[in-house]
Amino acid sequence: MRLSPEEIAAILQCAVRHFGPDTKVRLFGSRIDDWRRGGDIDLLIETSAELSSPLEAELRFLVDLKNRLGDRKIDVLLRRPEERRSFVDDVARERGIVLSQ
Amino acid sequence: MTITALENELRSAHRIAQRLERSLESTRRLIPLDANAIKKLTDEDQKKLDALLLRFVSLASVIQDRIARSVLLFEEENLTNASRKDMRPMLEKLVALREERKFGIIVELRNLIAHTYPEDLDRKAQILNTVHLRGPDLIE
Repeated sequence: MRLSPEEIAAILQCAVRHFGPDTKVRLFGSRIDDWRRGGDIDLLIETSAELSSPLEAELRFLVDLKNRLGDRKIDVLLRRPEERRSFVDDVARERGIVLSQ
Repeated sequence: MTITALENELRSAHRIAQRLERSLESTRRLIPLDANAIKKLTDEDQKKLDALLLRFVSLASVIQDRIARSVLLFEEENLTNASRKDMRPMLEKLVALREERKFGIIVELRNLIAHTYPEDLDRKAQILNTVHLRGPDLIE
């Protein structure tokens, strides 16, 4: 996995702040491959919190995270636990790495 | 950067802002939307919503990609190695941007519009509702 401990901490702190304490974050896509370089940060974020506006929460999360990590390309799939909208969700759940500190 | 070039950029943004304002007005009755409501839209309403998204993206891009840079160059700020995100606090200091964070949210919304699959109707509905919420901030 190509994220530093500081980057993981920033992601988890921002996720808890915007999506609640029971949030689970999975990293998927090119960043889980140690042999590649650069690439987007693809995150599957699962929360059971009742968000009044999930999109607003996602936008605020991205702004805060980019303030911490710099102007990176970060893609987020925000889902309820078990929610599936496309095959990408399956890929993210099967191959993604759960981030923890 | 000359004052004339900056004025031209601002005039261009003002024209897009006026169009965006008209789009917000003409689609207000459709908001809030959900996936079911999107399925039932008439072609005419669909066109109005497409125009709304296009105008929102255009105005956010003009401000972020052209005006921000032009204003800072006009003010003789040092932009060496400055990313677009770095420019926002500089603009806030010059009072050219009221709230850097609000504009950051608008830029993220613009990015999401460009990367959303048309068949994801839930997402599309959320985006359109948020464009209505954030559109006035962008025009301001």
